[in-house]
Amino acid sequence: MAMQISSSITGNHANLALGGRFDFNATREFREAYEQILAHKDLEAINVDLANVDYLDSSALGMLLLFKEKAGPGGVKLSLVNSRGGVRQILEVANFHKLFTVS
Amino acid sequence: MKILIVDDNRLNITMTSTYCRNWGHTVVTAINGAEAVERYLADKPDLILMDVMMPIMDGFEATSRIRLLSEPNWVPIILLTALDNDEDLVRGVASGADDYLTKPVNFTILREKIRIMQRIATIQGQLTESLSRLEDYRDKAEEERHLAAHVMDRIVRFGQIDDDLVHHHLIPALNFSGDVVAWARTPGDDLHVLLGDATGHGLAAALSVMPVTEVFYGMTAKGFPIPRIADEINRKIRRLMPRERFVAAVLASVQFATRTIQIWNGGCPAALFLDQSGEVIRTWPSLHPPLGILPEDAFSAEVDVYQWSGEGQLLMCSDGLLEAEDQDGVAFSLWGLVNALEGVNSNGRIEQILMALHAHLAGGAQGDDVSLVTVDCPDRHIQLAEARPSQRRYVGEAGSWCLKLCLSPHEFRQIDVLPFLLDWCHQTGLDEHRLSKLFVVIAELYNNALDHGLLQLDSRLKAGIDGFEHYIRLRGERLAQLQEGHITLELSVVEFDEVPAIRVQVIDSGSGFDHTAISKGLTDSERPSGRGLALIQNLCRQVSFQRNGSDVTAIFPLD
Repeated sequence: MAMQISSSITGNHANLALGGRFDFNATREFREAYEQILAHKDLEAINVDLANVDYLDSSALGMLLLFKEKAGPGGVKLSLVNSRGGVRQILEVANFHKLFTVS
Repeated sequence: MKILIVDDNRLNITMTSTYCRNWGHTVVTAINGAEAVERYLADKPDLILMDVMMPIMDGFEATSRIRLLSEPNWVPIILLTALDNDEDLVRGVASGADDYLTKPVNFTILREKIRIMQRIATIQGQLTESLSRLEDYRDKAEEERHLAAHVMDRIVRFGQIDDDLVHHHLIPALNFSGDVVAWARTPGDDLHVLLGDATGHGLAAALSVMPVTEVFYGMTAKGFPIPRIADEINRKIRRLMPRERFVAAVLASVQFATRTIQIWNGGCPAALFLDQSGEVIRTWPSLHPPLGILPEDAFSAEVDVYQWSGEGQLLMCSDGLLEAEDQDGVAFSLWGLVNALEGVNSNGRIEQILMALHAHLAGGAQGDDVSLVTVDCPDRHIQLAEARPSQRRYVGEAGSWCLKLCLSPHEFRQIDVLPFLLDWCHQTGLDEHRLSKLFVVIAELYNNALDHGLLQLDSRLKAGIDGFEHYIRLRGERLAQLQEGHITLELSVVEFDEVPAIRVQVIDSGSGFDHTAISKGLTDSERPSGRGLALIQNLCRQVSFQRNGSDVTAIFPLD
């Protein structure tokens, strides 16, 4: 099943809300979504909202790392927000709080 | 198009041929079925107009023969029947004809039918060509996949030797596994175990695993400790792989002589230590991000140390096991694992877990690679000297050399001196068997000088529950703060009792320590410390202490 993805930009804050299964099959959609966001100038912070994500695999973790690297040069702060249940556990096992702001 | 016209009536042939030529086609003719087959083979027409009623061989027979002969290509065949007869039509289709036309032939309709066939033939031709290209591509991909699987399997398993204490199982989700289980002994006979799980699965994941095993085997054989190996693998994956590719891994060092385990866990499920009844008595959760993510300066290779008392078993697995979902999407989970282990002794654990997983999946497919490995941790250690009696005579040239190293706190913290010395001795021609023993001697003397001589650690600290872990923590703190002091290591070839030997001298600048306390319990194998020196005295011809234990000389015989 495809991942749901929606983004919004308010001022210099961007929000990328994901839903469903965030895995290997979502690679292209996710990349298109973040490239679109990063095309905006003067962004200061991006929240990746994981509230509606049911599942996350290692490919998804890889995509988040890639997103972070792409956002890095512009000095944009990337946060993973609203993770819960199994998704939160996966982020914890991978110690992603050492790489992102996770809440 | 080249059209083959088959008819036993010459007038019909002439008439049809004339029309066809007028429409721009070339014509070949035959006057019965047998001749039609011959002409088909000789002239390879693009379309056949076939009369049914003919002497020698009728149109049905000729059609089915040509069909067989034309495989895998397709040549359109239109039957020309005298009567509008249903039975003929059915027989015609059964023999492989594509269309029919009743006699007398309506040439306007024939012209259209030829056009339709021409169009279908063009499409068919393109399809056949694409299919054959696809098949070539598939064959080539298959061949490359075989080669890749073979090479990767060799690289990943290179250096893998059976070890009585290690049991493992690996089930790939696809042809290639992105999981890896590897183990090897250090020259000092410690066991290093690696369980890795690369991003995703299949070929791409398997590729990320290759540099991991290469570094693991190479550095273990040279005697590097787990933190250095973790450092190096992290660096290598970061250098070789794209940013989104990484490897979650548990690295373990099991030191049977001291009954200690060191674990580095980055992104894998917790490693477990189980007692004999299968109960979990210690866990090592993931404390680091997976390998290949952090830059060198941010990477932490810090390990967690544990000393076991009483027989037990170390168990590590990949998340493919814990996340395996049944048909309702429920994961196998840590609870599933712990339940499966309850009351099971160390011999049958992997089988028990696999049975539980199988029951959980209930015939469903596993979505990810599943791997697990166990290491038996016996209560008593079979010492190196006893386990591997030296039977081989030394045949190499001992040579005549001397190597002297003076090390200061900076080097104690930064450099692994043992792999360097070992490499030196190896190059002078010492065989692996003796190297391994010499490694133990040098390691023990060097660590004594550092721990007791310079860091002033009392080995009695190691006694009691958590004593060892406390000792290790304190050692780390003092080493980080150490400002001055030095250790001089000197290796030289000497002759002792008319036998070539390597003389190992270790001098530290400390005020000395009570080596008699250490060497007193020579036969007491239950003591948590001091066995090291006992072992050295077993391996060496002579061990002598000067200056209150801060100057030790050992004679390692090469006979």
